[in-house]
Amino acid sequence: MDVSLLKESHENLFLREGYLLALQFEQGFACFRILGWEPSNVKPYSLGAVDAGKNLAAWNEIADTNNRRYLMPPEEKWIYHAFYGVNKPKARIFFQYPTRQDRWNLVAVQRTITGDVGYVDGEMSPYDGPFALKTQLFTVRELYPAFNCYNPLPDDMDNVMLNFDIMRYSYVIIKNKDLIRDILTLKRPGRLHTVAGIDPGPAGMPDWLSDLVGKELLTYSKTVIEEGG
Amino acid sequence: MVDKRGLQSKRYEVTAGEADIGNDVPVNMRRYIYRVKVQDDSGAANLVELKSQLGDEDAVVVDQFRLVTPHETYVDPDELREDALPLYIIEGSTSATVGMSLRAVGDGDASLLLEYEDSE
Repeated sequence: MDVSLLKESHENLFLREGYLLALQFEQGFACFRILGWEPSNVKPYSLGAVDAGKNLAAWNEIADTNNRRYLMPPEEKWIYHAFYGVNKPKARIFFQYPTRQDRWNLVAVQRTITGDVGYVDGEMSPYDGPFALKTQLFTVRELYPAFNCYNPLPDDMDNVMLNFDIMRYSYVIIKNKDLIRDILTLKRPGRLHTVAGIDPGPAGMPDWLSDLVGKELLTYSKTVIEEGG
Repeated sequence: MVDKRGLQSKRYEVTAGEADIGNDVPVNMRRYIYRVKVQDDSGAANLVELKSQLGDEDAVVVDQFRLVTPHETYVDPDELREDALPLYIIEGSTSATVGMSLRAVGDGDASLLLEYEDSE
């Protein structure tokens, strides 16, 4: 009934020109310098009606009527940074990132999508914000999440909706090893983020991005993060 | 605080035979009832009772609504404020095998409208 009181607005977490960003993928870290930003949003995004005690029949990749995914940059030159809120208050949103990889498990077995574990609802992340840190997403070209919803109440939900606040960034890839080391060892202020989560591991880096970063730098970043450079 | 996005508005038909109304209160939650409207449909004086029942235990009267005038309507509160506290709190069961249900009965036919929210 009462919405969560969150300490910090998600808007304070968006990056600005010149900020340093290190995204951790399965293969290692890719380090970026943000060149520019542009806000956008999707509100409302309807997941549709959810019957009492049921979940959605299919995972939803947050796309328009032509199946273009809102949360995936249409070009390689952008990174998307998103947060979202949920309506209804009790609608439980479950998360896959990348698609078909369930996230937010807790015990040794995979969480279900009709249970009490591993979701965010409209009380945790209110529809009108501020959105929960748990909803934070970074996406690059060819990498996007999927969502499902469970209605734990005995009354049908007529329309479960999400409100996405999205920031698009242009960037340059950092190739300077000294700077990469300083970012990953926190000697330079930068944002480090693990893409998708740690169980079973971060999302795999798309081939186009790993080609741009290069195998040597990916290996170097792993050495730095494990041994401190 | 009332969360308008979680509020449900449901109308039930009440008869002289006591019967379940609506759905069980979800397990590990409570039903917060913020507004009630009772209308006599019998054309005579009526006493409507709202009850709760855990499993097959005896039903417990939550409240009574005495309608003295035929076709009288009782509404409380007239206006639901955003900072309103619930009129009634029905505690759900802690077991998935035992349900907490709502029941209603009248001296004759009546309509009952509840505005409520299920939450922990």
